[in-house]
Amino acid sequence: MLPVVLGLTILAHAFDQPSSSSADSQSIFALHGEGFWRMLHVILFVLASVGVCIAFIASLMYLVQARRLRSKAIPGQGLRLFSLERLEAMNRRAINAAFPLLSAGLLIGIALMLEDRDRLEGWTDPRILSTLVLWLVFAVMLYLRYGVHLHGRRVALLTIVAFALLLLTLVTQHSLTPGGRP
Amino acid sequence: MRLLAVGCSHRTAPVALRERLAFDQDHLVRALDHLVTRYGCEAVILSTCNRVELYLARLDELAALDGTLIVEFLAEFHQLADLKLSPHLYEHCNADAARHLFRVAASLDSMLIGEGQIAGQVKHGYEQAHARGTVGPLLHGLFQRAHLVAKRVRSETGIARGHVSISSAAVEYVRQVFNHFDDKTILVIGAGKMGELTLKHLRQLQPRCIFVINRNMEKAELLAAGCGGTAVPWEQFDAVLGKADIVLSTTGAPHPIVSLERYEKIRQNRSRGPVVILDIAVPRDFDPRIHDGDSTCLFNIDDLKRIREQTLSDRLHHVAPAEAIVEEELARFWKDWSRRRHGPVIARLTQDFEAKRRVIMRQLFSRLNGRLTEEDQEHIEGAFRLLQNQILHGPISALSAETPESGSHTLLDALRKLFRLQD
Repeated sequence: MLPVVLGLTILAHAFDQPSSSSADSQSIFALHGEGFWRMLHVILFVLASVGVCIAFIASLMYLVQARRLRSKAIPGQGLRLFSLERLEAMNRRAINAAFPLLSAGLLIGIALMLEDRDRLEGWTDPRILSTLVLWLVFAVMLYLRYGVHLHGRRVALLTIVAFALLLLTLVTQHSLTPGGRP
Repeated sequence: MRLLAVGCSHRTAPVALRERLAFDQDHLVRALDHLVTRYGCEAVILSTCNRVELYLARLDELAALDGTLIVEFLAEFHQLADLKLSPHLYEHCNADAARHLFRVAASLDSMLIGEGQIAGQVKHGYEQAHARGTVGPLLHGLFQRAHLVAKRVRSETGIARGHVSISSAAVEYVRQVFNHFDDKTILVIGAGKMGELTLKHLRQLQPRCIFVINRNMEKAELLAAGCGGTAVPWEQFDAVLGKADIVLSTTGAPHPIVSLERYEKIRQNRSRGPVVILDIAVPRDFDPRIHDGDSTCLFNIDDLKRIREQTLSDRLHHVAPAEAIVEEELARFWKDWSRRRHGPVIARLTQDFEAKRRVIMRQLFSRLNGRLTEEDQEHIEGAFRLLQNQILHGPISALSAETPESGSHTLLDALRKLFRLQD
C-alpha cells in the first residue's frame, strides 16, 4: 500500500510542474526536457521503494519467524509464516532489484538538484547527505551479504534500517524543498 | 437384522494378548471362512497392532448372533482359554456396533486421537473380507458409511491437524527453516534405531545428499547403504558438520559430543545459511546453548514431544464435533437401511391393498350399473382410497419410526402375518 501511496504522491507532484521549469534550455536535460528526467527519477525511485518495502516486510516476517524458532514455539500456531529460507530469499531478491533502480534514480535526482543549484546548500545539503547515506547503507548491505556472507537476523535488521532511511530521505526531500517538491 | 462387533483394543487388552489374538493374512482368511460357514453370517475382521475386532451381521432377524459363541470361536481359533479372554473383550450390538465402527474409523477410539492410519486399516479389513466373499449387503453398507464418516471427520473437524509422531514433528520444524531441499545436505550422526524413522521422513524431502557418520565405520556404511547416503569417517566430523544443513543426531554417547566452543569454531568456518539440528539422542549430543533460532536451530527430543502433546491436546477440542458427525451418519445409515429393509414390505402391502380396493370397486360399480353418475363414482373411489390410506398409515408410520433397538424384526414379521404378505 505504501509504495502505491508514495508513487501517486510523487507522480502528482511531478505532473504538477510549472512549464517554466524547462526554461533552462542550456542544461544537459534540454535534449529530452527536464520533465522526462524528473519522471524517470520518480519512476525509478518508486520501483526501488516497492522493492525496499517488500524487503522490509520480508525482514519483519523473518524476525518474527526467527523469534518463534528461538522460543521453540509449536509450528502451525498463530499466523502462518514462510520459512526462514524463503523470507531471506524474498529479501535478497527485492534488495538486488531495488539497488540498481535506487542508484540510477538517485543519480538522476542528484543531477537534477545540481542543475537547480539555487535551491541547494552545497554538498552538505541534508537532501544530498540523506540520499548518499541511504545509498551507502544499501551498498554496505549488499557487501555484507555477498562479500562477508552475512545471513539471517542481522541482514533483516539492516533492511529495516534501510527502510527507515528511505522514509527519512523522502521526508527530507519534501520538507526541505520549497513547495514540497523534490 | 443383527449386527455384532466383538473384539479388544489397547483400552481393554494388554499388548501380549493383542499379539495372540492378531490375525495374519492366512489366519484371517481361514477365520473369515469359519465364521461364515459356522454362523451363517457376513463377516469382516479388523486386525491392527492396537485392536482386533470381528464385525458380524445376519439379515435373518429371528436367529440372533450370540456374542458368547464368537468369544468361544476366538478362544478356540487362537487356542486360548475362554476365561482368560472374556474379561478383555467387548461386545456391541446393532446401533452400538455401527457407532463403534464409525468411531474407530474416525480415529476417535485410537491411542493417538486423529491418527490417519486407522481409516486405511478399516478399509483394508473390509477389502480383504470382500475379496473372500464374506461381505453381504449390511456390512457393505456399514463399511462404506464408516469410510464416509472417517473422511467427513478428517475434513470437517481439526482432529487430524498437527503432528503426533516425533519424526513428522521434526520435519515440521525443518520446514519452518527451509523452503526447498534439493540443494540441502543431511548429516546423520550415529546409527541408532531411534533415528531411522526420522531419517525416513527426512529422505522424503529429497535432499541433495546424505552423509552418515559413526564411530563404527561399518555401522555407518550399513546405514548409508540403506538410505542411499555416503558414510564418512569419524575423524571428519567437524568438516562434515560445517557442510550440513540438516543434522540428525542419534548417538548413544553418554556425554554431549558437540560443546558450544567446538560448535563456534565449526560455525566460523561455515559459509552456508542456517542449520537445523535434530538432536533426538538421550543423553543429548549437542550443547543446547548453540540454539539461536536464526543461524542454528537445535531441537531435542523434548521439543519434539512437546509438539505431540500440544497437538493431542488441541485435537481433544475437535472430539465433540467429530462425535456429532458420527451420530449424524449413524442416524442416516439406520434410516437408509430401514428404508431398504422395509421398502419391499411397504410396497407389497400397498400393492395388496390397492388390488383389493380395485376389485371391490369394480364389483360395486357393476352392481350399481347405471345408477351412478361419473361424479358419484369419483366420490366413492376417493372415499375408498382415503380409507385405504388411513388404514395403512398406522403400520407404515410404525415401521418408519423404528429404531434399531426397538426390535424391528418382530414388527416386520407381525405385519407379514397380519396382512398375509407372501415373500
